Amino acid sequence: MKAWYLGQYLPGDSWFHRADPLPKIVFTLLAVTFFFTAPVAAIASLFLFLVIFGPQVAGIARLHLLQGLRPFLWLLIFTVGINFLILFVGIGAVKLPPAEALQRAITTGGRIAGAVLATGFLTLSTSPLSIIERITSLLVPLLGARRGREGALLLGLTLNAVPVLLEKGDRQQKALLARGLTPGWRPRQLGLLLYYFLVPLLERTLDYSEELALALEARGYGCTEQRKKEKKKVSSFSREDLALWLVNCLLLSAVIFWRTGVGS
Amino acid sequence: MEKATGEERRMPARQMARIAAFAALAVVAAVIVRVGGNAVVPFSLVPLVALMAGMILGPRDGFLSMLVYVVLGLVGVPVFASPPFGGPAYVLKPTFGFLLGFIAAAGVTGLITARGGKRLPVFVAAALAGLAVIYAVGLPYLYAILNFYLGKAVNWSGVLKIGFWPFIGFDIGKALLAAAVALAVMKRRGE
Repeated sequence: MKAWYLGQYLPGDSWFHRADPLPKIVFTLLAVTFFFTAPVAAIASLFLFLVIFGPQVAGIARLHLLQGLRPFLWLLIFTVGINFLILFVGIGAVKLPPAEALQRAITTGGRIAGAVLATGFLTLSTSPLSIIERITSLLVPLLGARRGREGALLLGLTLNAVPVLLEKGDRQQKALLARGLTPGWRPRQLGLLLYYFLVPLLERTLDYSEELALALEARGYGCTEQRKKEKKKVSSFSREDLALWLVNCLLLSAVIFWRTGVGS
Repeated sequence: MEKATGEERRMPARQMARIAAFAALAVVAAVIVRVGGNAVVPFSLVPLVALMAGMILGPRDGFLSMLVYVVLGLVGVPVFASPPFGGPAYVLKPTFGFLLGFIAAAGVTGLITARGGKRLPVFVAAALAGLAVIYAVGLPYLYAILNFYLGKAVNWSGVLKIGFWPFIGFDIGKALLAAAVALAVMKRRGE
């Protein structure tokens, strides 16, 4: 669970780390869309590029990037397996020869792995705080100053809480196993297991929210005077941002190319 | 207590933290059980969290926590249960209506439990009403996307076959469990 990307920022000083979070968010969205619209050769090319050259280009540790795929491993194996069975055995309307069925199944798995990998570039290179600040700057004109700040803060707090709660869930699961409660698929057994898993987890979640509230107040949340004294940050358009926007333009062109059917 | 000045009335820190914690719990529920990610409607524990959010946080905060979860996914964070796990294009997925249903369900469950009191029959009724809301929003959305966006001629019985019959038994179980868990947590914490 610790390998899960959300909220796992690794500080660095590469051009990708220095770039504005907005083009990085756009890059993530476009790369995910690319993986779900492009043909197999393009998916494989971008996937291999992100795995082989991505970490060097963006200044992110390859090991951390690949570790982010670990929580999805069973999902990937399951997806490839079930797709192969459906296409090869012909459970659906289509029945394909084994080689073609396997190729299609691997492509589907590759789309998911690529999408997950793409999100790693944003989360590993950008601190949750700077993502919050950037989202705030976008939300304030849309929702007004107060709601915009609160909305962005809520998103940021949620992102930060995910790894904490994943760990609490993991610990609770281990505690149950240590007490001899084993998973089973009989309704009563499953219901009891979930009950004993969820009650302490919810209590810990609420305890965590109390700690979070104290931390927010300690950091001056709600203090209007302090906020007034904060200097307004001036965002400038850097060369790093320009490079990333160019990459985004390329990705967008590719997505439009395949989405409109020109490339098929 | 937060100072609410005439100039700006901010959401209290405790309320904000509880909303964020439940939104994060929904993310955890979506990512720990990603079974059947390839099916049109995946099996998910998020409805359980949505119902509990309404019962424990109340209608407004429960509603907001699920709204935060959905917005987080729509801005591109991979928090949903099925591929591509996030992004604005998710609104065109046939199952997006169920996510909208979670938001409404949290509000409805919260409203019923806030008025009915801390009794098991009230919590069970609230959970079942919340479940009905999830399907009331999710199934028409599924029908609309399949027919009008994906261009697949699927009638209502087909929609029920994909999105209702395989899941309703599990979901009733989840609703009963949500009611029992939420009541136990609230009693243990004296809320």
